[in-house]
Amino acid sequence: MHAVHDPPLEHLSPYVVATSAVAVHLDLAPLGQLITPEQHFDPLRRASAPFLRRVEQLDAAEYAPRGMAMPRWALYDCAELPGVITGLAHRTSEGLLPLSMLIAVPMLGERRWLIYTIASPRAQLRFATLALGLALVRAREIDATLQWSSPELPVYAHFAPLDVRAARLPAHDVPATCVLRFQVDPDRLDQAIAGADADWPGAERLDVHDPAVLGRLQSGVEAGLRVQIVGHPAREGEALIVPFVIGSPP
Amino acid sequence: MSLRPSNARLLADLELFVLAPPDNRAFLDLAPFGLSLAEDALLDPLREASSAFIERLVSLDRGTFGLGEMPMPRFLFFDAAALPSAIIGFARRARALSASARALLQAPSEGDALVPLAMYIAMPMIEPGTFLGHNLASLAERLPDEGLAGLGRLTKAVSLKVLRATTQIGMTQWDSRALHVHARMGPLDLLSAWTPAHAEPASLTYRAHLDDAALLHLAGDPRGQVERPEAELWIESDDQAAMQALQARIEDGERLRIVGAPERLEGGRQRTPIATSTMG
Repeated sequence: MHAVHDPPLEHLSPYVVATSAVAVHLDLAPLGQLITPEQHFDPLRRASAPFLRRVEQLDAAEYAPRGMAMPRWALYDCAELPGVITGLAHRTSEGLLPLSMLIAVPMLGERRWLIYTIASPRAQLRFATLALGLALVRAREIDATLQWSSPELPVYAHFAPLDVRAARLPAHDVPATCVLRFQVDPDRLDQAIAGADADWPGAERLDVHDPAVLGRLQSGVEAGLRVQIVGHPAREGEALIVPFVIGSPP
Repeated sequence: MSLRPSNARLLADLELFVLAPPDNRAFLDLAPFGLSLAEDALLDPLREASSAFIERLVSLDRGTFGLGEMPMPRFLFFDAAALPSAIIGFARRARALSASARALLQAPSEGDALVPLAMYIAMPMIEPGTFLGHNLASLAERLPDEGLAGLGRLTKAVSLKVLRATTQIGMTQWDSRALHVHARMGPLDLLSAWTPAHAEPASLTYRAHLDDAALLHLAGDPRGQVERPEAELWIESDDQAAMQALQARIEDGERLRIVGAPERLEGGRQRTPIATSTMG
């Protein structure tokens, strides 16, 4: 039996934080899950403030220990106004309580989105939240920024192969941050949800906790090589082993 | 159309820069108002060689706090700026910097390295041509003897031209001096007048409709023109009850606009002119 604070997935409701001008462009029944007006929070309206404070607390719980919590003004300016925050929430006597969140903002170009946050105290909600977010924003192409050691990497690995656009960002708070890209289509989403893994013979298994490996990957990307993550990461002692294909795609 | 800001020294002494990944550049106007962009002033945030320049942008942000805004976490220089969009601004070569500018920005003392003195950050929104501006930083006030007057508004105008923006959404506080810059774009639709979702509830969210005439006016080019409707009421920057009343009217569906620059009042306060809008 689940505790009140740990309800099963089927008892959770999707929510979205977006202005009404953004919301009209979204699929408000992503993956068949209807987002009702009570589950839509417009940051321009005063009534949304209590829910947005809970979202801020969820972000802080995930990112403050890594030194990357979003200040309230930044959540408003850099997430809620230009893009969307979405996730799964539990209905309580005090209203919806967000248990997961994803931040996606549009990029220049059509149906290109950047995701820079996937947070939840429950690891099993992260993938469901990503799948929900991809359907909600009707994305064609996703860029994602994340730290190599973050729990987001295994979530994105469901969508492998992932193109590595940068393997490290020296000017970032955490230089061991990568930028990944993948295309989204309904078949691929179904495949990811089904948990199907592609087989990539010949992949190199590299430790992304090794700065020399990140240097090699970054040099390859900057030299014009296609660097792809082709499967799930695996912890081996202190190492985090990720399968890569470097060079022309197979 | 060329650009002739009232402070002509700005364009004579400074160089345009654009920090954007190659994939984003096809969507940009890299010769805004006919300005040229040096080869080494077009930078890629995904390449390690750009890291020193990004560090200088962080120093610029810390050195100015924007125009009354708050310092930006470093990760947002990527996530909410250079990756989805571009960071655009004006810079000087290190060898041409004054000692005070060099000290303020912890810049190298010589060489050809570009050192940014102003930047603007705006993120694309889902509606084509619409951008959310969230950081305008200029050293004009911190370096008052260097002839940089008008640099903030020039930077914002040129950046919006680079982005091919037709609509700009932004937010500021009712007591912010930045409101004087934003109001130069013409009447601003008020999207919120009291904003609990922001760290400072006495913040407003505005929307500007842009064309070349508005951008020229913003840049301080005397050929620029914007509409200036009559004010119907004024909001004083310490009158929170009036802001909340205005917010209630907006949430009831009324359309309101800021129709001019704020007027300065005693005690560092200001008042901002408001009118109802007949625009859709």
